[in-house]
Amino acid sequence: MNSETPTKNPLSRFLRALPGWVINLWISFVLIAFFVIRILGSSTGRRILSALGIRYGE
Amino acid sequence: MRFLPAILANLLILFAILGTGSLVGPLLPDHLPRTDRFTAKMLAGIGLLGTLIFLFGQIAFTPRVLGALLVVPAMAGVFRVYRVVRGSVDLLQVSRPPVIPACVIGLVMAVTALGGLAEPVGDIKMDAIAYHYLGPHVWLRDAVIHVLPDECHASFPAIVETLYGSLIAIGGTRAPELFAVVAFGLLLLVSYGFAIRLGLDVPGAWWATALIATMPVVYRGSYGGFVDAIFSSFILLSLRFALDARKYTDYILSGLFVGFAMGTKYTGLPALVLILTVALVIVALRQSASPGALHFRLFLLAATAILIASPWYLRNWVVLGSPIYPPPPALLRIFHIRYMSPEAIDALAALIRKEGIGMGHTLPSFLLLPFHFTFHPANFLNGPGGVGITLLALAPFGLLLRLRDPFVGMLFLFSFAEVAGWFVTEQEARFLIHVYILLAIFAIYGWRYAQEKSPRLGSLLAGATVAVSILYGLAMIVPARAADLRAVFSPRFEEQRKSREIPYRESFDYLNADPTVKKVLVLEPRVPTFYLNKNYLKPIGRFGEQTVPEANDFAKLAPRLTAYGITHVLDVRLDDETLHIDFRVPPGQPSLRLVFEQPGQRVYAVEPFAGKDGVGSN
Repeated sequence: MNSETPTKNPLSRFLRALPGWVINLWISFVLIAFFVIRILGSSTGRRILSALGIRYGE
Repeated sequence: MRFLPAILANLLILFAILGTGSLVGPLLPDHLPRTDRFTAKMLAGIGLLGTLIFLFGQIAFTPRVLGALLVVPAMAGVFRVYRVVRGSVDLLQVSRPPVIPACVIGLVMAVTALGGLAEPVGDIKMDAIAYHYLGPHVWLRDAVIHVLPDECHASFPAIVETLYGSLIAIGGTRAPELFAVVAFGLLLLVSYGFAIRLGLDVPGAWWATALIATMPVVYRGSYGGFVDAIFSSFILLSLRFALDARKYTDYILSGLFVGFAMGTKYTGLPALVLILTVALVIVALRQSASPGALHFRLFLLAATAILIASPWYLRNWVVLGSPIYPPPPALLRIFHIRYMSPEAIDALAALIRKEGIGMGHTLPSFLLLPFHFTFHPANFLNGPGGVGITLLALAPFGLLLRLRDPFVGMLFLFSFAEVAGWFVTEQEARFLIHVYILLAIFAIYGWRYAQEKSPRLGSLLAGATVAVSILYGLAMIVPARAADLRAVFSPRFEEQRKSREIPYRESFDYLNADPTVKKVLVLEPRVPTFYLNKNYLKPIGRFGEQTVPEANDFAKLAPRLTAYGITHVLDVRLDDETLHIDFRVPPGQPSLRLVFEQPGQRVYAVEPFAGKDGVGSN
């Protein structure tokens, strides 16, 4: 894989400086959001939300 | 045995494509990897053969003409394959693929191949039935390629549909369904080659290809008559040749492929402008040509594209009054078109705006688009299933990592402009397949980056993201083809499915079987005439196309039936969730005799009209 040498380029510097936990947080957010929305969007999820009096995605 | 004609037809077309595509071999850059040479030749073969068949088809579209056009290039294709096999050349350089992505791709390809053996079914809401297969079906029946006045979408550029026509002629209606294997396979090969060009190693390119293969939206645009896989392959190749161009022939190649894209879909037109723009900018960034040479190179690209695509647009201009048909309302000030009124064009434009609204056209919607498209893909036309979560979770890191490369910068510029144009016009998920492919490649870079930055948790999370995307994609794709697969393995189920999903099937069977039926008047615009093997006249089309002056008034049309050569009338009652339309033939119509009736369907035989205006009474 062709890695760009992260020297003077501000983007490379930014990515090099970015802490690992920020990346993990972002990926976790996308993963969790995906599952939550899938579950809420499913028929069971909708039934549960409806029982709780919450209207989602209507 | 019922599948053999479709398989043989596809093999013949496959070899013909390879043989024809070999003509562009001398133009291809020497440094191009073997996989990409093969892919470029195959796609050039599709473009050249589709255009050639269209040109000859203006005069004759018969099995004999198709045979003459296909057999010689197919023999050349067989010869090339023989040389490759004899030379033990590793054509695709894929001797040791990583197991998991190879199995994933293999599974999707197997589903595509098996599901492709099913016969097409469905109502007129399916684009394949409404026009992708209807045009070829009618051209074959009439032995000439011509416009269909009652179906404006059949006048779209149709490089792929001319191949569908050839496939139907040789292998029946299953054959174009099976062609999805070629279309989807080539899209994956283009993606693989692009991933390698962007610097991914072989395992990385395989993972990117697996991600792409399991994107439900990408898959949706690759089968069932849709031409988006081929279109996006053309665009990606054109883009690549334009951005890597060193010699004049590279610009000709770029023009050739974007020209084929313009001959496949109208969305190729804005793509030409964008490809010219990025080609200009990258040369300026690299300072690799004088202004004079640059102008000439861009001229070569544009001229080749326009020349290649011109047959489609000239035909429409000459026959229908506008090179783009149906035209956007703004073009009506310049062009005067046939068969559609300005009101019908406005209504069609309004329908496209309504159906393509996605999640809105506002600035906040644009800023939230990556989230909307990841988490609510079903809100976009043909979006259900979406593109997985890796594009949102990982691609931004990969893109930022590689953005310094001018090639990547231009890909970003192109993709951004494409997405912006798509956002403000029609948010149809299939139209951006080439953008998803590019982002999937950057997602693999993002995966590697997350592994480097956080070897334990980052690896786990990024790996989980890729796994979820692939598994979710498979969970969407395989069930979507379940009915096709079942129809392939169970002739009984296939027959039941045809009875259930082909509207007015009994009437079509009656009309197709009766030798006295010569020409059928189809009164309801939403009747899928793809299933009718006889000549027909539809006075009004789905989008308000008017094929005869008396289209709106049956009382005026009835006395003219024999003049139009009509022998039978198909009248139906439409009754679904949204529409309730009763029979259109009034009771006791003197010139019509009811000869067939089923619930919601009536077939009349036309008898000589006794009225004073009737030609039949002369």
